[in-house]
Amino acid sequence: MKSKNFSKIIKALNSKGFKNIELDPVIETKYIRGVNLKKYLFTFNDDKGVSFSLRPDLSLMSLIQFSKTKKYNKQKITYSGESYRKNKNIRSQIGWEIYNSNNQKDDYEVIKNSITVFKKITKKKGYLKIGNLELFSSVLNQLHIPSRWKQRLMLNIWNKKYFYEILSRLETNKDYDEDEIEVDKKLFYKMKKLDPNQIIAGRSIKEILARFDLKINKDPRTPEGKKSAKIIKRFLKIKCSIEKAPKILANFFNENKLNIKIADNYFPIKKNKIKNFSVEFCASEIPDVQIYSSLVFSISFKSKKKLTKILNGGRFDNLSSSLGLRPCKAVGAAITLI
Amino acid sequence: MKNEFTIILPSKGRLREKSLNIFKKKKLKILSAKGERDLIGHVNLKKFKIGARILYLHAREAITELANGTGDICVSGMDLLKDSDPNIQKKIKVYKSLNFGHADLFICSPIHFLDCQTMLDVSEIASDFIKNKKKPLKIGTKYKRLVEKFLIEKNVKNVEIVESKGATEAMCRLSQVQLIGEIVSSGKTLFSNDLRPLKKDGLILKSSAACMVAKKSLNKKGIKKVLSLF
Repeated sequence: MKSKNFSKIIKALNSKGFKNIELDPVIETKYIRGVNLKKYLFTFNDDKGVSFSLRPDLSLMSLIQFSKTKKYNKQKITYSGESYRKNKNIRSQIGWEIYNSNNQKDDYEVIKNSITVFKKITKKKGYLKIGNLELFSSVLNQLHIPSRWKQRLMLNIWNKKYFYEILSRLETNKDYDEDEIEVDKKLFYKMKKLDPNQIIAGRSIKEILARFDLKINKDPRTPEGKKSAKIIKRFLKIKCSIEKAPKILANFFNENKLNIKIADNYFPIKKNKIKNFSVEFCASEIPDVQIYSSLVFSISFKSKKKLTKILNGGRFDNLSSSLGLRPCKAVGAAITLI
Repeated sequence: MKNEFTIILPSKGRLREKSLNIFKKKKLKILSAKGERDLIGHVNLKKFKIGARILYLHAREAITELANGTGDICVSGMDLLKDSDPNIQKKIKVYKSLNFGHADLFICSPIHFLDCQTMLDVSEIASDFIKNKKKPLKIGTKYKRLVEKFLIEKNVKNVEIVESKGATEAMCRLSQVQLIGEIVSSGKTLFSNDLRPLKKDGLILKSSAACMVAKKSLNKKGIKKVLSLF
């Protein structure tokens, strides 16, 4: 890593108690989540046919490595190195994470250190945007739409293009093929007479019929799809200074009859007292890496009138267990050195 | 004769017939020393003062050989080009889409999968599969690259792609896979095998036959005249 700022950043993080760790250069491909990472992987198989990839992101690597250790107390770690993606080739990254973190104060500590790191790199004004996926999930849970639609929207929020495609389908209530549905209903009654344990292409008739029944009868389309899609779109447009965010969100929830309590931890920074920094709440602040569970944030600077994002972070409490590793709550951030 | 060109044509099926029709319509006779089954022929393009060798290969092989430099021009399917290795694709230019060999590459499911009509369903079924059966959902296809890319775009996880060399439509009936990614033209083969395409959002690619040219051959004298045949 040749960046002049590299040693400055590491030194600053070490002085705040973050200990250096080394990361493996390759990762088992099964651990990689999200279209934006998967599309650009350098992948290969070992002699047993197991698929590996060059690490596309360091945060994920550090979590996997940490989850395999037997450290159960709070650990502050930092790592650095190159990540490899086909669209960006080699990118130098430095990250800092707090593992086994149950304390919301850790969110603030990671953001505070992110600001310190940013200031080591540039004297330009910083733009800190804070969002929260838990809040988005609460909005979805309050809407009168089938639970499978809630899951679909939550799972695909990372992929903007596809997310809005799904949202437009929710709007028009298009969940199944209307041309086929009548034929399917006839087949449904025929299949009901068959042995429920009979297997068709690896699935039992029982499970096919149960899911079909759920889709058509138990958890069907609702007439509120259009209204719900509108609320989601309006929520994702909320963007305001961090001081005003609780009030604006409360108004939005009242207006749309959403029973959501604005928790304290949604705003690790409540007032913007940081010099040369703009701190905003941005409901659509969602990074392209599908690892976070609640807090998400980014820091950008202005270059040629455009905001350039160089730092991303957030809380990822559920990631390690979703990857089949031991549960490990964590919060962290990483910077890409240009 | 100067400037000998090699034109690769599909060796069988409707693509071969329709490709040969292009020459017939121009009243150009393809001569084969060893009869109809001869895999090499010649066509005399007298008016261009050019000679052309005709090579009959499998449509997928035609693309590989075009990139390898065996041929200058080929007729093959766009689906096969798009599914080929990126190193092959970058050596080939599509000169013209041809008005035959129309087919769409779709994700298809057994008609008995009543609950599977969109890619969102596929994603949910795959996730149930891994949760309940502890194994990934399997999709059989001859178009591994295209299907893989499509599944990533649609955020479908917990899926294994099983490469098929032929008779992909039978894979679901044999319970080898749960779904297939296959070319659909009339839909008759699918229907006969109790399959249907996910029409709503399972379309991966719209394809047709195309005349392709090796980028290396673009500098050859007379290439434009030969391409004008298509």
